[in-house]
Amino acid sequence: MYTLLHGFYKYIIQKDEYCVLILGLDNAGKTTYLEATKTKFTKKYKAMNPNRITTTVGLNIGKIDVNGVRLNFWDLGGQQELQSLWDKYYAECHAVIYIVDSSDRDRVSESKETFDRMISSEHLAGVPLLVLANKQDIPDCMGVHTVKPIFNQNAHLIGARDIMLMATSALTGDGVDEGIRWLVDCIKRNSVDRPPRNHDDNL
Amino acid sequence: MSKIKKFSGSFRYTQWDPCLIIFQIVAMQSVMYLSLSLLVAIMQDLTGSTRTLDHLFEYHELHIVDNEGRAVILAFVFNAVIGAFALWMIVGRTKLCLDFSCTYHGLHLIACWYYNGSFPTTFSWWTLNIACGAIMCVAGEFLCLRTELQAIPLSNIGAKVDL
Ligand SMILES: Nc1nc2c(ncn2[C@@H]2O[C@H](COP(=O)(O)OP(=O)(O)O)[C@@H](O)[C@H]2O)c(=O)[nH]1
Ligand SMILES: [Mg+2]
Repeated sequence: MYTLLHGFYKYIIQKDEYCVLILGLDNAGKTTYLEATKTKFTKKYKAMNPNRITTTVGLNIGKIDVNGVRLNFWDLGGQQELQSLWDKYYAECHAVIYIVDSSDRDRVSESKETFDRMISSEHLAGVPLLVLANKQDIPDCMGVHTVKPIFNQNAHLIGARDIMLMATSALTGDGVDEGIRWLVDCIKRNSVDRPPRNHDDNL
Repeated sequence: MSKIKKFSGSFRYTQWDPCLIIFQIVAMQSVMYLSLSLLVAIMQDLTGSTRTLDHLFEYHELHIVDNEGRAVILAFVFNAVIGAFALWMIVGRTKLCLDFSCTYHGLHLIACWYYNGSFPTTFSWWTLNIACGAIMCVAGEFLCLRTELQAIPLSNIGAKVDL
């Protein structure tokens, strides 16, 4: 009887869980973006001082509740050597956030190559994609109009999926909110193909 | 995505399954009352008393002053042991024995309450039922634990094992 009622209670409060990958070159601001997201969507979350964010080795994990669903973020390290680990996560994720450092003109082409390699993976077919032109607070950065044509070149790889390019600043938190809400809508729409992963009740 | 489903634990099905739990409760209740009726019937024949449903639900019938009352108490204690085996066969999970044992006795309490039209307040009824609940739960846990602790044979499963 207790198991029955407890299970019923868990069933009522349970939220659909989705996994979101945060990818991009190193130093693009992935970890900073994750911190900004957590600060925005978690009540009583103490924002971490951005200066204390160091290079990610392995991965960072974040969890937020938004619009009745739970998002699990995986912030993977972006260094060349760590990129080979990305595809291990593709099959399990429900959306990808790709972050571009728009203040770093030298590495845009490298970022673009990495991006193409990522979207050509068969495990990511149909998965919603949010591309963020980060660091918009730096005066000398590339705007959306500069970044967009670069990442739009390979339309055949993008295929039939939701994709959006947005300008953000992880440091000031601009554009974080809109991006996440857009992503949640897409994930929900795509949940027929990629159903949520619900937490197991350990009865 | 079959792949995603596969990752969420193929070792044991742990999802909350209300149908299974309800049928387990119904099965437990049926088995327990069936065996209790048989035991009480046997005891009644042995002591030569009349067969009546009172012995199952009427709490004034529980007393140790004569053989008739003692026989009924004995039947209840035996039934608790049978209940442990029922837990083992029907539920089979150590962690759930306490739950199912309490559920059975709780439902029995409600049945008695309904049958007598008043809440049982006699010391003998409560003592007997708490003792029977404890016997059933502990013995059931012991049996389930023995099964759960058995080694899982891996040799004859095949090449691929999903642990
Ligand atoms: N000006 C500015 N700097 C940023 C922004 N986002 C991240 N940074 C800086 O970029 C550096 C790398 O950020 P980090 O989150 O560690 O990048 P990661 O390697 O992708 O995880 C840090 O020094 C951040 O302070 C931004 O929106 N604006
Ligand atoms: Mg990082």
